[in-house]
Amino acid sequence: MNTEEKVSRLRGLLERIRTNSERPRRALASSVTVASRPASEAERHKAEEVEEELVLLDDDIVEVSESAAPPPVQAAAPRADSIDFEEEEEEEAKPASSRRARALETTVDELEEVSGSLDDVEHEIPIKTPPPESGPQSATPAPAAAEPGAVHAAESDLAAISGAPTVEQLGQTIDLEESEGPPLELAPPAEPEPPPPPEELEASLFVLESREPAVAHAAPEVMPPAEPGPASPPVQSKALEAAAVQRPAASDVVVVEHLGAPRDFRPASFLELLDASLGLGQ
Amino acid sequence: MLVSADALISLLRSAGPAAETDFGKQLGTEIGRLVSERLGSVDSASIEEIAEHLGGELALLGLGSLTVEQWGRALVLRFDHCPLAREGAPLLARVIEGAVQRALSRTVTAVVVDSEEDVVRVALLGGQAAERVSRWLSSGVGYAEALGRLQAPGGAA
Repeated sequence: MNTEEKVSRLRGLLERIRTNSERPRRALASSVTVASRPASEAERHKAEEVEEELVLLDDDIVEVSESAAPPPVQAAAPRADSIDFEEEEEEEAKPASSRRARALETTVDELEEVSGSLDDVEHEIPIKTPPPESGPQSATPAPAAAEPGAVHAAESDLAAISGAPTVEQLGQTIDLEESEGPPLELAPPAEPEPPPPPEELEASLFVLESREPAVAHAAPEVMPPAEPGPASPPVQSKALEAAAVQRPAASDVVVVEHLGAPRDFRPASFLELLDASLGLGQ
Repeated sequence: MLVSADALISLLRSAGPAAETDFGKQLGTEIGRLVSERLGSVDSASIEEIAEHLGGELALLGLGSLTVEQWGRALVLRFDHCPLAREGAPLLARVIEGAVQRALSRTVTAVVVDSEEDVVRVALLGGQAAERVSRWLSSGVGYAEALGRLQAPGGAA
């Protein structure tokens, strides 16, 4: 028998104990008296005393712990009869020192404690598994979250906090009001920084002009300013355009030269060429 | 009989210019006769055919490899690996004159315009043109320039 079955049986036992405890004593006595069937008034009175004694004995049985003296078998027998007959049969088959017998001898208080602890365990199980990043505080469930009204209220509160529409607001058209107050005015863009002093610009442009004038005119601000060396002569701003240096030619040597001439005279025979050659200079 | 070029040149130099000219023209006439006999109709022979047959006969005599060059309207014969370069170049010119006269029935004046290590260029010209070219070459004008002047509109006077 596993733990769940034990728990279920213990719960059922506890319920029956509670039910029996709430019953009027007369009913319990009647059950006893029916069994005894007293004939006279004295016997009835005696039976009532015996019944009270049995009740007291029953209370004593409940309160007596396991370490105390063993309860009388006759006093415990009616209590056991009122609870379950099948359990009794099983108890008779098993030895008295088994764990099963000790469980049946558990007091009501212990059963209540066990039941309470089980209820606590059940309540501690969260309804929704919290996300791992939520933290320990959000993982504890709200006590009223299981109720439908409470859930609805929680959703309304959440919608009010997050700004999301509630269930009633879904499908409705909401007219937004125009914002009150002065219109939004954007700040004017920041003015660009003033250019550097002309002395620094002239120095940097002079170095670039001497090397590659086209690049210097195209993007002078991209090029890093060159440090003016001691040998660089001062250049006025008007001389920048006139100081352009053209790139020299790669080489003055003629690489390809056509020495041949189109052949205007195409003799058909060797004799024709010979006659043409003999006619030169005449 | 095989005679070295140097011994032949020395012999002809000692014999005098007239003997050299006669010897050369007689040698060339024999070559021209062989060419005309092989070609048959020489008047319609192409430049390639003349270069092949004339060059073949000259190569058999050991005068080098023949190439026909055309400088404008001027006809120039180039000999590569020629043993008569430099000092023997005039003898080669007389051989060419005799061969052309015999094969083509034309009287030409062969002028050595270029003579280097083993390359000789001989231009086939008329009498007056040959004198002008020789004069230009003696004055230091290059053979290409001389041939160019010869083909100028005024006859390069």
